[in-house]
Amino acid sequence: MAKAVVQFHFPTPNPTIEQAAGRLGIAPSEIDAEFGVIETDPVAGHYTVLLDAAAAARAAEALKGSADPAEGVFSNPEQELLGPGEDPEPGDGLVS
Amino acid sequence: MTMRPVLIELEHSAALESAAAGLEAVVTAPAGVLMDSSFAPVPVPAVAARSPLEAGFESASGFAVDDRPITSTYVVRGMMEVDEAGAGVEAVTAQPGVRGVFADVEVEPQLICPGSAPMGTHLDVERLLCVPNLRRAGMDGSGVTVAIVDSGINSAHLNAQGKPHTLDAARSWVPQAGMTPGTAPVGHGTMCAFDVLIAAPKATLLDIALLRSNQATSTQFKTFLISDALRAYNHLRSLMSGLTRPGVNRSLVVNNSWGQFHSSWDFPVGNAGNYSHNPSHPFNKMVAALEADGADILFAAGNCGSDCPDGRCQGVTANTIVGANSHPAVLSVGGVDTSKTRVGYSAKGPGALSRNKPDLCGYTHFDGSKVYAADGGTSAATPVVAGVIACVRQKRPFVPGNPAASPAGVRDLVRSTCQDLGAAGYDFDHGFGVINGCAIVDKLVPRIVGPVIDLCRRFPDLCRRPPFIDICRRYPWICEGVWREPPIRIPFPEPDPRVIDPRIVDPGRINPGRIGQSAMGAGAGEDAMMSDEESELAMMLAAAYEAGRLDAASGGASHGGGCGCGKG
Repeated sequence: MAKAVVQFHFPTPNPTIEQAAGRLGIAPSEIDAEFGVIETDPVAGHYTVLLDAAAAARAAEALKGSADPAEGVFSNPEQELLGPGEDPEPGDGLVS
Repeated sequence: MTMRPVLIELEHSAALESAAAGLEAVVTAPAGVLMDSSFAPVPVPAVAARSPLEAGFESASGFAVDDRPITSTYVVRGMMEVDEAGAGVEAVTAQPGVRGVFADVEVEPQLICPGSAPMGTHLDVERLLCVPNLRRAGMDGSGVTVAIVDSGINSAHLNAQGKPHTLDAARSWVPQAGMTPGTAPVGHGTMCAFDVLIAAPKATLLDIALLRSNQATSTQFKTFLISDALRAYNHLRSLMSGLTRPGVNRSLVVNNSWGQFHSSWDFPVGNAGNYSHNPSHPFNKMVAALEADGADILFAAGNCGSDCPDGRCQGVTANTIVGANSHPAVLSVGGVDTSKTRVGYSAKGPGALSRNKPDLCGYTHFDGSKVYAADGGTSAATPVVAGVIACVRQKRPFVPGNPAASPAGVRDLVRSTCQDLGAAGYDFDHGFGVINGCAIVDKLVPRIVGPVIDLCRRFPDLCRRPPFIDICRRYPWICEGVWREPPIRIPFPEPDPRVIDPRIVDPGRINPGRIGQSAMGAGAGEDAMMSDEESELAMMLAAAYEAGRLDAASGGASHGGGCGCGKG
């Protein structure tokens, strides 16, 4: 199952994974390390992490009651290429 | 002679009238015609033009129509032998009851749909983008970085297709360890890179590969998650905030030929975590942040156009431009073919996050990269436009604090110079129209203003002498400068009729009929034959300069007086 995208406000710039985990009420190990803590709005101080479903549910509890519509659990929908929709021409080295 | 499909117009008969009404009837075919019995006769009413008086000046009723069966003719369909010149038709037309014989032409569907053959080639797209004008203006994408956020680029394929290019591997990005920029399997991302290079062959490409691979089976996944795009955009933001390298300005164009085909992939609209309609979603906020950093971001509008949508749209063709593809901070790009007809699958507006989407159209469904039978989808239209944006940025690089050089300023420039298509002005099928490279060059590159040489100021004696050569007519490029509307006219004073310098003018050798005309030898002397036009001019000017001192002429411009350059 795809991981969930969780966005939150942090009062100081560039929080660490540990700081983000503390804000969200989860363990640092539950934050996807490869994804890290990504700044999504430098003006509003919003950051995003990637969590599995269980951790996302606990993070949602921690963010409950926030008046900021940008804080919470967000969808992580599949995206697809908008090309011809066919496989490339054979013989071009595609490995499929 | 070959058998050809024809339509035969026949005079009224009871049998034709009955057959047209769907009743049992035997219709006899004219001799020489093999009639298609499955085609019921079609009644054609009698139509006559009406005079304006009779029509009562109603513009909609210029014809009088009599659709009574007795006055109608009837069209049947069949086959007959006809040669290239049309011989064979007269023999049928001459038969009683036959009003006329017409070719039953094959009508090709005009709309490009998924699976259609390509229309035109990338060379046609070059011409349509006005690439020669871009090049004359020195615009080829040099110094501009274009990020292809896609499945990955295969540089070897681009080189093999005649698109040598610069790929900045160091600043590119891959989703997992073990992948190398520029070596992705040949696919969608390679097509997009090719299409950027049509307008901007000298742009520096960044390979921002989103599709992961199953390294155990060496297969590439066909989809990715919005969180993958978040990571990629985070990388792009770090590039924008870093120092530029020598020779590379801060401009970054970001091509995104991907999107969400169906809402079932997302949280419901109205849910706080929804992506498609929610500006607070992290990726939509990230798009705004990257644009605020100065990047020009383009997204394909989508392939769920109502005429012939992609199968992945699951039949949904309304309100399909969603999420970042509809973001106010991006250019949302629809698709037209090389005849400037909207392709049937190009998504129509409105957009979810911003109503007026798509913004404009680019060219698609052409024979290009050879990755697919056609470089198609709104996927191909988007990098075609991205290449032009890269050329724009070459002349107008991003400068923080300069509104004209902001991404919004570039969007305004591109939208305002589009060739309008469809309904006048903006419409949801075409946006503001198709990208117009010619108009962009005209707006970005000012024309040269002013005359190249002010002859009268430089050679005042030349303007005081009676005319023997009309330099401006003979050498218009001297007097009129380059491309100024209205042309710069160099005023020449009226010659002083009291002044005649016998050292220059031999009245006996002047042909009055040639005064005011440029002509070699018209009073210029027997030895004034020149083979080189420029040296001829130099000799005349030198002679004028050595002519001696004359009284000052009165002012005023005239044609035929002095040099005759003041035509105004």
